[in-house]
Amino acid sequence: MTEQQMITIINDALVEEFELDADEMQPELSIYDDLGLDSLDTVDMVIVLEGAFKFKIREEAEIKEIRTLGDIHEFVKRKLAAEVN
Amino acid sequence: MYDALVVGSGVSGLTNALLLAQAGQRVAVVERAQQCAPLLRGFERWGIQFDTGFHYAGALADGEGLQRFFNLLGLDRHVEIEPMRSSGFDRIITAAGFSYDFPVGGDEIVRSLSDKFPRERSAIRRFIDDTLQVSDHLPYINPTTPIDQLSAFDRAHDVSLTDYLAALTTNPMLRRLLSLHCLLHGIAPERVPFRFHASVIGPYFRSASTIVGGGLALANAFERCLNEAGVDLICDAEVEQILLSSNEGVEGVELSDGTVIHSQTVISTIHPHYTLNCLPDRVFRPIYRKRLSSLDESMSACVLFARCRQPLEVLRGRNLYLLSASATSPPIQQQHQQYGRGSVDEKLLYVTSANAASGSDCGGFMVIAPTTAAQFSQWCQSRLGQRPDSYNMYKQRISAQMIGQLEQSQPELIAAMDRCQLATPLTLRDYMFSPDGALYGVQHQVDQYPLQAITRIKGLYLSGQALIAPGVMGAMISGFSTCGTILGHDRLVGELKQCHQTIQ
Ligand SMILES: Cc1cc2nc3c(=O)[nH]c(=O)nc-3n(C[C@H](O)[C@H](O)[C@H](O)COP(=O)(O)OP(=O)(O)OC[C@H]3O[C@@H](n4cnc5c(N)ncnc54)[C@H](O)[C@@H]3O)c2cc1C
Repeated sequence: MTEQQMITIINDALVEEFELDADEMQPELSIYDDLGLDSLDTVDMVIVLEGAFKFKIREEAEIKEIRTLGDIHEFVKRKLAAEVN
Repeated sequence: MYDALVVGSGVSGLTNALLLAQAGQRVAVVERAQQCAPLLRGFERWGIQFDTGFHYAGALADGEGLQRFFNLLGLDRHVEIEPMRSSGFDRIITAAGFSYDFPVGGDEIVRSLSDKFPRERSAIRRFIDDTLQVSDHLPYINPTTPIDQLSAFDRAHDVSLTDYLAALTTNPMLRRLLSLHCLLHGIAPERVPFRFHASVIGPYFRSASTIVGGGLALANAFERCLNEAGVDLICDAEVEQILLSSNEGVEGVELSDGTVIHSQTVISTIHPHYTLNCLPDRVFRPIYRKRLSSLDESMSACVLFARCRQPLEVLRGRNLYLLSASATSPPIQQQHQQYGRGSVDEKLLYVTSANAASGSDCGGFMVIAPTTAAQFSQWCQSRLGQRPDSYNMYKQRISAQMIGQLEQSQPELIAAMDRCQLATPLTLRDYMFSPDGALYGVQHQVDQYPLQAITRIKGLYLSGQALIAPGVMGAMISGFSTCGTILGHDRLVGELKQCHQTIQ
């Protein structure tokens, strides 16, 4: 999977499951301040990512550090890279 | 206008109501049944009171967590706790003649079980220690445990009981024996997270008690406390809609007869699927809706209610777990007993007296045989009182099979029995309004993130067995947990600590 494909999967899943605006999915945007998620949504975000990539997320501390959409992309990229190795 | 409305008057709803009323709020509880706590109340038949939703519990002995809840809520003034047999509150008997009595106390279990499995002493020790390590530190039950110590992640990624036991011992009989208590939460060993299992089962290892007069006595005690606390109990009232204001905060509920009750706080203790049905489609995000609507149901059962000519000594202060050589429900088609991706222990019969600790007169008993609603799918359109003959014939076959199995293992029960009637998953479904006739609502499974009390809708909170765990204890903890979210956890824990000191 190319990085662009990965980003598309993430963005599409978030747009669908959180009813976000597809045109707004810029990596520098804060998922909380700009996209309107809140701390209550964290677990749901994890479930969306687990569903989209069929992996299990146990990195609770890393998830809590996520601020922007780009952070999510980076997180998934690291996960996928770790799985290959 | 109420400060808070509680939907559902089960153990969790009533716990929420009492806690909020004690904090000075004006509270109403709305219940669809004719009387509060229908599941606890059980029913009367042939002059006998049959318990349904409560037979026994752990943590009710002096100084223990559930006792502390009772004390804080005022319930202890109205109920009498009776310990079960400390030498063996749960007796396991297999078709091959093996038997074991679960005694009260971790060390006692390790000693007596090691006598049966001499080579497994360290595995047994480990199991008991791991279990008690979890159950001794449950939030609220143990007021010194920090709230939210166990994260949602830890719970979701715990090992299953099956995997835990596989790593512990190769002895199949021991594994089976240590999985039997899955009956108390209705989740298959391969699906239940070990720590969840431990949280439900561990308290019984410390103490096992009943309440004199059974579930009905507890329901009556709750009702008296509600009265004393000035809580309005609105029965025969089905909530059809949870009303939202234009800014998506809660405004109240609408009943099926159109009555509107106003409040800016609503606590829903009903099945999460039903809570969803009471809300407009788009208020939750798709992912959260999916999460709630895809929760699997816990197991269901066929339940045989029987009256006896004389009291049964074998069931005084004790339950039986009988393992038969063959399954109880004759299969209709060639199909596996599956429910929510877990298996059902088809060969288990759980026997308990009709009304726990009703003094000398335990004039009846009930037998629970785990099964699934799928077994009855061809009649699922039929309703109470209008079932077809083929269903009744199948029911008779199951009754006969259960009676035959009991007769082999416990002939004195059958000799004493003079009337009996069978409830199937469809009966449970229609009486308890429980999808699929599930005994304990939704399952708590491995890989599943626990639900939180707080929701995205301002003023709407969830509570009940779907949140923490089933059982009187799980339902009560969920009440504390939800009210802790509303009132502040420190405040409730502080009150519990105070009880702690008074009791000790
Ligand atoms: C056969 C059986 C045996 C059990 N034995 C034990 C035992 O020995 N020990 C133990 O600790 N636990 C036992 N349990 C489990 C225990 O009874 C339950 O886990 C617990 O009572 C659940 O409480 P709750 O408040 O979460 O749910 P419930 O008691 O189900 O409360 C929900 C309430 O909401 C009402 N309701 C539903 N929809 C609406 C609506 N739209 N509007 C208004 N009201 C509505 C329902 O009528 C119900 O009263 C047993 C359960 C069963 C079925």
